[in-house]
Amino acid sequence: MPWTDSSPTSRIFTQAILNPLTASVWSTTEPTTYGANGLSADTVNVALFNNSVSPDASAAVGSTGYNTGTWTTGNEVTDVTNWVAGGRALASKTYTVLTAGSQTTASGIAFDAADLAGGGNVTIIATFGCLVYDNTITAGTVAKQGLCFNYFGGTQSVTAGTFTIIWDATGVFKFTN
Amino acid sequence: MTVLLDGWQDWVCPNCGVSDRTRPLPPNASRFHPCPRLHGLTAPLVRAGTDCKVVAVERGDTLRGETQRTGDDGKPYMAVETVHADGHNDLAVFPGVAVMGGVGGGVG
Repeated sequence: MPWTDSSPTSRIFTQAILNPLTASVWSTTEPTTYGANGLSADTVNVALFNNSVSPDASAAVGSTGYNTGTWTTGNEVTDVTNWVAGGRALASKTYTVLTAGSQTTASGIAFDAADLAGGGNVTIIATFGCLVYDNTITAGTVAKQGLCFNYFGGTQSVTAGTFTIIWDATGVFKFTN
Repeated sequence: MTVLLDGWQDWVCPNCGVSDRTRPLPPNASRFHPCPRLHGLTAPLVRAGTDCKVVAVERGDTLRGETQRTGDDGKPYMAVETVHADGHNDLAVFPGVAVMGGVGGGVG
């Protein structure tokens, strides 16, 4: 089921929530080479994908990594120079309380980062969304484990121009209660 | 005598007219602002003198419970596109925020 048929279309992987995002609540071994300081120290990449992928937040952990499962390089959308295979790294990452909430209103926590642009002018044809993954995880059940995927709302193309991802005001991914 | 040249770059929004002046930036550099004439969306400034138009692109798909950037007209927008006279374009896309579980990011 492609981006255009999924619902909702931007999700955190269940296996990423289980481990590594909340691994510290249990005697769970974190993924190989996952940083002692978590995502703050790890390199988190963003790779672009076409509408041939089948985004599934419930996928087995072995199918959530970059170049595994549906997230193969054959479905990746790249620019030859400035948005190459594997994608680009997030900068200025944060993990903070999004909404303090109260006894009667919901609260939230968000992982956010600086908006992400190509390294120069790019030509990108028909990308529908991106995979956000931990590029520091190099081995274990899955390397380059996916954290979440984000839908662009439709097809997006650029010819010899700038391409910038402007993250939602509430973050790259979020938890609310 | 040495002459010190002080270069600058002027930027302007073709929709609301807001302007800015910076030191020269790389060719692919961008500057953004919340544009009151483009539904309050984050929109690029363009280099002064650029022959282009900057337009908001409505989401091309149904929301299906997703959190998507919304303009001051209440419509969901997925991008702001700069269309240049020579045919090339620039794009700033607004992805949905990834959530856990179902609609709104709560559990289940």
